[in-house]
Amino acid sequence: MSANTDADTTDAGTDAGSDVSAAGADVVDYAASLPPYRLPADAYDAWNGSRARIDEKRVPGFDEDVVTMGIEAASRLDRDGDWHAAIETLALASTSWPQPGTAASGPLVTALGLPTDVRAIECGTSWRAGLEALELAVDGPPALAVIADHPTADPADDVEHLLGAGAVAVRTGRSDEPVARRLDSRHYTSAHVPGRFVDPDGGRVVDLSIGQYDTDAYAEAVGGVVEPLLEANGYEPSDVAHAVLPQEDVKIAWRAGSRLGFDAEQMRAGFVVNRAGFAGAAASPLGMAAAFDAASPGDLVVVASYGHGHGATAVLFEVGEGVERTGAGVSDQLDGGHELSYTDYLKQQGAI
Amino acid sequence: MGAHISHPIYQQSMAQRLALEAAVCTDCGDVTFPPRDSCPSCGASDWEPTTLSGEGEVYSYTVITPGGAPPEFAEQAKRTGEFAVAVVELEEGVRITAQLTNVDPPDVEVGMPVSSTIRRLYVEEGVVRYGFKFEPSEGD
Repeated sequence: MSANTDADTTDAGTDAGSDVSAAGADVVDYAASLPPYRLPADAYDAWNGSRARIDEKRVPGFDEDVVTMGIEAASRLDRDGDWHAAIETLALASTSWPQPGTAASGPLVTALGLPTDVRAIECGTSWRAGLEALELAVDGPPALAVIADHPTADPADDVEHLLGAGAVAVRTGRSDEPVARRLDSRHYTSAHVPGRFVDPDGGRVVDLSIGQYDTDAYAEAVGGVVEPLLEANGYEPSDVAHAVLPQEDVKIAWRAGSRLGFDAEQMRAGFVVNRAGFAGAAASPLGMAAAFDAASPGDLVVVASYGHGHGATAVLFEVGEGVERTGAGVSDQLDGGHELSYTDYLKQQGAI
Repeated sequence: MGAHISHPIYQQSMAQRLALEAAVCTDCGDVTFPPRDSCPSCGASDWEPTTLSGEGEVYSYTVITPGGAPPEFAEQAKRTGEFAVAVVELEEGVRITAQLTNVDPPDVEVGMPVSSTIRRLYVEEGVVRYGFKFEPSEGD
């Protein structure tokens, strides 16, 4: 595997001569949108309790999907500066497209007022897609990454208890005071029988429930990106302020974090699955947004995602002064919302 | 029966539905939504597109019960029960009729501040149709 140093300085525009800008692109702004409904774990009494090891999860309304959630997240970005017209790349990610076979970027471009000649790219074959979109956005700033997901499953399957929803928008560019500067990333891809996948007939997540097998696969791929990423940049796990690991299984994520040398304090801020549910491709980006919310300038943030089949990506950020002027308010959003009963949830989702 | 909106008619109004594109009269400055060929105020036929803020307040409203929902919203009414439809007066003075979302109908009040949000409206011939609704705005 070759190192990815991304010495992309040709379109720098500003910051000429800065050593740091040569190392990567900047996150200029970010925002998140969590759907308004919350389903507490104790709603799963019908199945003798939730199997997800989370407190609650977020549920979109009947009139929401990943396109509307993505538009909402991007609409929450700071509107100052008339930046929409300057966006050159729109990187979308999801694994639950509302209209497969069509360009989900179409409604986004029109609703957000982006230029029609924007380089629109849509990622979405696995839950790694969120960081794939983010990597595209930092590779070609000024760009906008919009990551929204709402994986679903049969209510009779345990995996359904975990599945939530959410959206994140990240604007990249060049800035003297970025929210965060992407320092580096690492990727891992290899053939591996997936433990979870989406049923092509129903579009629903299927979990083969092969716990140890999944744990090993996850450890191989996620460890295979996080460790070399830190080593190559001269950091120890203890140097990292916030570590956001793939959260598709609460136990596996905490075990992997601990094995990689991260403690609970480093993992807490970005561990949003506990209250948002697992938002598929948007899960790690949501964790990243929550970590940025909690971070201070100078902090290091590692964000990793995992895709069954399988592959992993990890990105290293250094938080900048810009984090003081903006925020996604993930924690406040998690405190809000309206609680749904389990029957209203099933009815709203069309499950009964 | 409810109105069937064909794909070409819907397509024609896409910028209005997704970006609240309105017309501002180049003669008298009046804002019209949806845009029309001639200004309803002064009759002039020259206008330029403008994007509405989406911020406003409930001017009037009604509640649609599941039995009274137009066919395209029948599935929504079945799944979520009654919903409110409001005439919203925007900051620009334009009045728009749209559904309210993210609010229980009994909580709706005339004068309530609202802002626009893009939502799924319904599915027509298998195609998902998006458009604006209004939701209670925060911080007022």
